[in-house]
Amino acid sequence: MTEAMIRKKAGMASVKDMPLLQDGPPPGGFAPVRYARRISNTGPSAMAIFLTVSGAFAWGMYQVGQGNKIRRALKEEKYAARRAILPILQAEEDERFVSEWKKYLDYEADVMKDVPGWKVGENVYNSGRWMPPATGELRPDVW
Amino acid sequence: MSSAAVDATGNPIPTSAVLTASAKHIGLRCMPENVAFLKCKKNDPNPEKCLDKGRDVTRCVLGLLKDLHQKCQKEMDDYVGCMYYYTNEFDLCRKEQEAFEKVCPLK
Repeated sequence: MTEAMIRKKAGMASVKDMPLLQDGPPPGGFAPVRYARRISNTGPSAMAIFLTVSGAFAWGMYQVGQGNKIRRALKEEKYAARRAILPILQAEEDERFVSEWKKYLDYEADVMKDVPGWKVGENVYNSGRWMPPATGELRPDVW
Repeated sequence: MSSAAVDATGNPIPTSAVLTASAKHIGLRCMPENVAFLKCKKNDPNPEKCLDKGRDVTRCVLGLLKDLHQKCQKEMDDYVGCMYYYTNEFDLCRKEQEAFEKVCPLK
């Protein structure tokens, strides 16, 4: 029912005279709480911290160097393998190119057979070095 | 793309996996032919001028591949399969590489 029926006191004149029902401190109050700072002055000195940090840095850089050595060896292995198989790949491509080039020269001779004064095949540069054909398409069957 | 190392007649196909798997052997045993071909190329890059040396190189390498495949077929197939799977990454196939080089030593 209402609060007055629960908390009533005998001979109460109004609701304002009800006994208090409050949350409060225990009798005698709470225990004291420390809030002052307590930061100790002990621990490693500045030189000790500096030496530890620079030691860790030096050891880390040494590990970086070791790792680079290992990575360089792996890369060298990969490059050595590529160097070993380069000649056979180039030789196969040369064979293919020579046969395709012959076919192209035959086609050119066929197309230009009625043009007077046309030297078939290799009217390219004058430097004397061999230059690959500059058609803009290296392998038309692939691309 | 086939991951098999051999074609129908039993010859190893010179795919990238097969070539990288046997690259160390090629670099050791076909070195004279390779060096001669590269010197010829450096002299004159015209493909028609170095065809004979190129044929030497091809003959040496394909013969070496066939020889390796006959001597240590299973290990070579495993190594080539691993190379194919990991796209010619040496560091990921160390186990197969060691097995291969134990049976077909580099000498």
